[in-house]
Amino acid sequence: MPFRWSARLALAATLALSCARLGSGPATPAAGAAAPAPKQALLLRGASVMTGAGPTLDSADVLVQEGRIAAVAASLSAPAGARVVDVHGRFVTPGIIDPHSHMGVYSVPNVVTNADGNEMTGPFKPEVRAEDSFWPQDPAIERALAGGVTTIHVLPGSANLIGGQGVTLRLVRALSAREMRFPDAPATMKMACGENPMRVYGGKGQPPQTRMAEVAMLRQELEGARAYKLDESKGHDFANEALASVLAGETLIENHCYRADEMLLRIDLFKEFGIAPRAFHHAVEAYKIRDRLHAAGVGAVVWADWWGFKMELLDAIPANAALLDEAGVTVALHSDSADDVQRLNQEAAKARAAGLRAGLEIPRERALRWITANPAWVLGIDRRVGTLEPGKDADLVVWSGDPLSVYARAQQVFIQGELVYLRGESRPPRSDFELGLPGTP
Amino acid sequence: MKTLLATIALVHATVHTGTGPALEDATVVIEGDHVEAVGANVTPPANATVIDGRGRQVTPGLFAVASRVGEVDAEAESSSVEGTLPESADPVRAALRVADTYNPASFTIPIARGGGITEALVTPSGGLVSGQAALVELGAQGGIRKPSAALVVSIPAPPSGEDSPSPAGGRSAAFLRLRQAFADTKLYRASHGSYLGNRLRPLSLSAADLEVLERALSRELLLLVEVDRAAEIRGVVSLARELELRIALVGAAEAWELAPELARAKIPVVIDPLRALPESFSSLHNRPDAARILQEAGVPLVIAELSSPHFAHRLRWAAGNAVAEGLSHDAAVAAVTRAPAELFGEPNTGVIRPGAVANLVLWNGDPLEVTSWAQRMWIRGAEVSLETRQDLLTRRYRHVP
Repeated sequence: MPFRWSARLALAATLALSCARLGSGPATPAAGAAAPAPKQALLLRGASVMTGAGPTLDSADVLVQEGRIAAVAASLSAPAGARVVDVHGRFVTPGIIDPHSHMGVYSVPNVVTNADGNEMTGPFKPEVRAEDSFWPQDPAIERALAGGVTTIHVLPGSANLIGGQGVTLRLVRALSAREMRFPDAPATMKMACGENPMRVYGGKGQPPQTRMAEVAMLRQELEGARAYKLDESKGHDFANEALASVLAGETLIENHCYRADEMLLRIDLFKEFGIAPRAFHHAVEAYKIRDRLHAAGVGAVVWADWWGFKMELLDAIPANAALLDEAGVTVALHSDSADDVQRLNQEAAKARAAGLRAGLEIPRERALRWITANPAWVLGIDRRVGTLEPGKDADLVVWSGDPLSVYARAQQVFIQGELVYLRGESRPPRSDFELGLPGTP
Repeated sequence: MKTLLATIALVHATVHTGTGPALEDATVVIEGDHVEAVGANVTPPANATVIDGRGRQVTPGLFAVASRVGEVDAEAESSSVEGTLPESADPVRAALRVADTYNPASFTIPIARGGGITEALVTPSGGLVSGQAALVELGAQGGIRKPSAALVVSIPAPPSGEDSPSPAGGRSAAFLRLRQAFADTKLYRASHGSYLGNRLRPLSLSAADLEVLERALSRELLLLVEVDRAAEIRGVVSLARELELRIALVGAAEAWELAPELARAKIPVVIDPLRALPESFSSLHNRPDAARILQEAGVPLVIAELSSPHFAHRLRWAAGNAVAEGLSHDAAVAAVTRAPAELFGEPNTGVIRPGAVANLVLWNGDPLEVTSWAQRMWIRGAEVSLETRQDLLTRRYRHVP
């Protein structure tokens, strides 16, 4: 273990970059993700309900019908045939959404052939799709579910300036990524700034060796895509078609970037093409430019307390999320880690505490949005998930206690009204890989 | 030094002593560099500076085991990393001492202190016998208390994935090389005269390495063995019995499967409850409640944060998550205070009792919670600033320029 950090931080630290799924290429059937909505209504009775859209409701009921939230209020009456679950003393929140995951493309165990998320054969790979590497049997997925996570955005790594297409997935049991795909989620494209592309290619004597080359090359690549027109005699150029979708604003740019100066450079560069990133991911210096991010309508996807393991992380501060939120930036927390994804609720509490310590008043309900409503916006799925409002999909978690506590554990997790995780239940592991092994969650 | 220290009384606080249940509405008196008194019925001395602890909690300073704080600034920059050797070096480096390069001015130290850590067992990394760990105190002076507090051995998995290739060649090679190294050490010890007279067969190690291994063979030096899989844990336990070595296990993902056996052999186990994935073929049986299982079986339990020196401040949350998985709060506090201090021969730290070293932290709530933070810290009775470079950045950018 010469670098013990590597197992847990390697993805973000050295190579994790990502991108998105595109509308280009062979027509992809529009999404069939997720389980069919169960018919039986569900009534959760008497919990403290944090809806993600307003104040906490003490002792409220949550009614789920046809896989959707039908009502959240005190003393709802149960429809005929409804399954009624007493959750007095518990907390209910929306399902957690992790906007930056490499589960399934860097699966555990961490072996050579599970390192499946960085196509490090060239700095521009817009045509590759995380969905096509994703291994639905990754044992980490069930641990994430046990942490109350219902939706993840899986990205290629950050070795490349354009790493490929991401995919938004629900953590339903399925045999392929396509069957997990979040219905109608926008395509996303992973891009990256800074140290990782420089290390990967510069280290081999290839471009980019410098940040100035990163900018110049990206500009040229986007210009090439702008000029691209399908030539029937040559057939499709899927890389350029993927980028055309980015330039058309249909594919969301999810941009790995740490430093304030580089984020500002990217905003200016994209502006030349009439586009903007949806969000900067990692964004450890976003607090320095929060007014600019707010003005540009660009989101920030950050950690609570990662810092320091690279030069570009030395100025990370734990109050980043709180400062961004105060400035009106849409801020989400991400894990970028198969470990931290199990505790994103704790990450929200930590980031809030850091804000309080720095003198920022952050209501608890606000911090909850960092792992629910805000990542839903970052992924363009906020019309369907992220809050417990009537009409939204019933992706929700019943917690043993206050979710903003180290002691809380997800007891029940629902996706579209269907129970997908029950803590303490004796059952075989979800991953085929773990069948017969002791110690599974 | 002692005369410069004030007498301090923390009053009306919840006090976690590291030795049993928390005391409510209690007082701790710090006199010079030690704890003078602790309890619910203690009256502060007349000359004491009184600090109101209402709604606050006091713990012994936390002890970070198997940490690399002070060895690293920015991990990915190799020019900022010490405590290891190039992969090409001999995997047995018993003579390597972290104490020679431990840097109390490292970027990592203030962040660790912010996590309530006052002491650390700073370990080398890489190779098979990685070298000697140093026991340090994170005070303003940044003192090394014991330059050779343990000898670190790492039973590696074979090269895999994104991990760096193992210089020791994997698990089988590790055991082979360990046996050779200790066989040579025995020969060196038994035939020292012949060795000096150059009449001994060639040995696989330098005299500097052999001298250190001899201290392990004589049970003076604790062997801290990084090992995960149950199969190799059995192998390590058996080797230790054979050679009469004093050992503790680190990482130990699958130690819970051997809990009764480890309890009988009184072998301490250092685990990280935040690490519960089947992350390699050495840890397929990892589970989040391993701390509870080990504790219930009577295994001496130490909790550590093992992933990164940049995450040292997460130690208390590692303990908190163990509580969420069934460990008692008192046991979790002890596992990051008293237990590691005892393991490394510092029975007078990691506890709050009369005469104990005054390494203390004042928290604004439950020290194991994600909602609380450290407010003040004392190391040997001297208050230490908890301000970090992160705090300075936060202040500089409190208003956008």
